Amino acid sequence: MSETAIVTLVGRPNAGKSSLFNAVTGSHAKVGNFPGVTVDVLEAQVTVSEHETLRFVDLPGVYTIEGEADPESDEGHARRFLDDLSKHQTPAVITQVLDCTQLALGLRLTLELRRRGLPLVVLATQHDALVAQGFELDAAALGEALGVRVVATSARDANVKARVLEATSEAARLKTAPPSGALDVTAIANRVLRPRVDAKQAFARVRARTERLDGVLLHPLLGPVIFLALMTALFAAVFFIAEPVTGLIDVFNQALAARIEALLGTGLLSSLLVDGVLGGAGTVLAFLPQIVILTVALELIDASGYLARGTFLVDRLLRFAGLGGRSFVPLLSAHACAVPAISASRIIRDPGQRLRTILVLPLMTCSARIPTFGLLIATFFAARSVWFRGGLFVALYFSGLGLGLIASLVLGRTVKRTSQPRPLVLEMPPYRVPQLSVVARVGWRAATRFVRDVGSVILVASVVLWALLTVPGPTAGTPPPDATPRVVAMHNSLAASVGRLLEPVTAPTGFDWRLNVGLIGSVGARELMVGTMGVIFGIEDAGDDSAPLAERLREAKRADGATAYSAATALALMAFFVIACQCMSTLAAVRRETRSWRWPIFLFAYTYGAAWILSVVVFQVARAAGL
Amino acid sequence: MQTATPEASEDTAPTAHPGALQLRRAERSVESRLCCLLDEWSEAALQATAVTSLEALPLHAPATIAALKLSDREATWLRAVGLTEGCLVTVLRKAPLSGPLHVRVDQHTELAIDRELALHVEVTPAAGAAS
Ligand SMILES: Nc1nc2c(ncn2[C@@H]2O[C@H](COP(=O)(O)OP(=O)(O)O)[C@@H](O)[C@H]2O)c(=O)[nH]1
Ligand SMILES: [Mg+2]
Repeated sequence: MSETAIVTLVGRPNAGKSSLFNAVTGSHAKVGNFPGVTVDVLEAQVTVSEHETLRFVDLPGVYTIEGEADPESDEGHARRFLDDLSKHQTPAVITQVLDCTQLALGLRLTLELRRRGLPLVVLATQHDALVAQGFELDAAALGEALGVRVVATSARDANVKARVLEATSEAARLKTAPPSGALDVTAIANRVLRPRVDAKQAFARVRARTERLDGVLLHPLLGPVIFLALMTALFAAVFFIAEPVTGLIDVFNQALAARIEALLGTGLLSSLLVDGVLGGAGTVLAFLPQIVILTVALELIDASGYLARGTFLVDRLLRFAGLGGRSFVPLLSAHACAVPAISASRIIRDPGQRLRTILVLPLMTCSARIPTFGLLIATFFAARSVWFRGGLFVALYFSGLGLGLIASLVLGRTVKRTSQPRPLVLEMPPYRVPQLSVVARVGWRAATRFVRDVGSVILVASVVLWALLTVPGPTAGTPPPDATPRVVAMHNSLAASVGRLLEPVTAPTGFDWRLNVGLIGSVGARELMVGTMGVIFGIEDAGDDSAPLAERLREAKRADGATAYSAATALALMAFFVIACQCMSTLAAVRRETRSWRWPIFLFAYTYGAAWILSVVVFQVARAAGL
Repeated sequence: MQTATPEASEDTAPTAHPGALQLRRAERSVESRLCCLLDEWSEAALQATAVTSLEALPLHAPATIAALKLSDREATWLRAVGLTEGCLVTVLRKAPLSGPLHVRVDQHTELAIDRELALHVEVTPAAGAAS
């Protein structure tokens, strides 16, 4: 066998496609407990034997592959893939992943798939859940009724990989088209599901658990309160758990800096390493724990089944803002990162709602903002209680959410493309205990990705910034009188010249040229703000015994010797970061998803404009209040 | 619900003086309102067995889906998701402030359904339904 057959996993959302895909390919597609978590087509090669490999593809969930579908939605993407499959010459096997506990529903899709005429295998998964409900599936009888091979399995079975590979490679070899006649799926389902003696009690027990939980979590009063409390706890946890760890990493950085300076003196090379690399990238790295905590928490919400409950609870509010319940998934996941959230917006079936969701997603407080918020709060509110600082941190999250809703309201009035709105229909899966290994893997992946980013993009950018803060620029600055030659050079540097050029614009927000350099640096990625601060104040502070960045920021002076920044500046800068879409990857994702330059440019312009206005307001009000 | 005939039909005829005309109008409006009330009352009485919308269905009262009064496209999609004519449905709860309904369909599936949409799903309450 020379040609590699394509094995496409097709099934309803939440049927267990991604779990099977993971189990079979060993690669780690994201596993979620929510319709449509698979947003991009994932694929992996699997070696069956010396002569045979199969290409497994995990498609987004579909309820039907006939009838109309919006081409930009999940269903549209999946269908396009299937259409292409029928057109091409490559051998292909369609593998339906069917949730045993919803047999009759899944079988309707089987009938549609049979009509495609491609070799078909049915993987009846979640058999363990069916057994827990007191039933067993007679796979042979089902296979006979359907005229296709049926494998009853579960993603958590030890031998799942071997059985799936055996069945799919057989189908790829035989290439037999399935029969395509009509069948009574309900009758078939009733016939092949064999109840155990205690089926009634078992089923009632399983259902009672979900019902009890729903009774509390969806309670008209308690439900929303728990929901709000959960969100608050999540954001607060990011702050409270991570603060000490971040402090530890910071201490480590400083020790390393002292070592380097002891070894290399205070020359240019030492400045490059200490200020550029450690001050820039190292400072950002200290925020690793927050990002991992956030990602793991979001994964738990997703895999436990609570995500659909959250959708149920917030649908009304989101609809009022011109979004819909389905927007909740991308909005929540945008708190980790907006880029995957933009792809996740494909689960929104309404084009107008989808566009508005994409345009407000970048206002959600993504993890790249955490370093800036963390640094500013630690620096300018150090005297306040830890509760005040944590509260401020949580408030920033909620202001992002609130501003997102307001933006959506405004966009709903101005941005057209609103067709007949599609009302919410969403499956509420049973509650499940998340698989620890999957959650751990998600956390690990978030950590490695962050470290990789810091080690590549942010490291390079920090070094470039350090260089731009070293080469002389066209205008001379006004360094403090007692400045060392290195600090004088920085004040006269190219970056400083550009930063000063912006000072008239940023004067009402309280930002001086140093913060402006940070803002320019962070146009590409937000993390660079903290990196830039690390570099600039690292240079200013060189020579002294290295104080923490927070202390250096607090004691920064203006040219006239006055203190440069106050709590008002910090609040204004945080307001700027709440709104501005400082992220090239996000803009690129919006471009990809909307297939036009118009929306990313619009997004950039509106968020920067609004960010400037809000930070002016915040700065002026805060200063008037004496902060 | 049908209302009585509109007033405009006969009143245009040139009869009697204005006072009589007014009286007749008042009479007729009372009459039509009574009709309306009667209509409503009888409908309410019938409700236990007649077709109603999923939205109006009391909580935990099982019913069978009779028809989906929706555009073809939307109806096709709903059927694919699992809301088909003949399915047994139970409303488990309603989100406050006219938020979505939490509905169980045929034992194995639970859906959140927009209330506006539920207005267009016609159901027949199951006979002998416990309330
Ligand atoms: N008990 C059990 N749960 C499963 C099985 N396969 C998937 N799940 C759970 O079902 C949910 C949805 O699975 P996922 O693979 O994301 O479904 P997809 O939407 O089809 O990709 C997750 O919470 C899984 O943990 C299985 O074989 N047994
Ligand atoms: Mg999936």
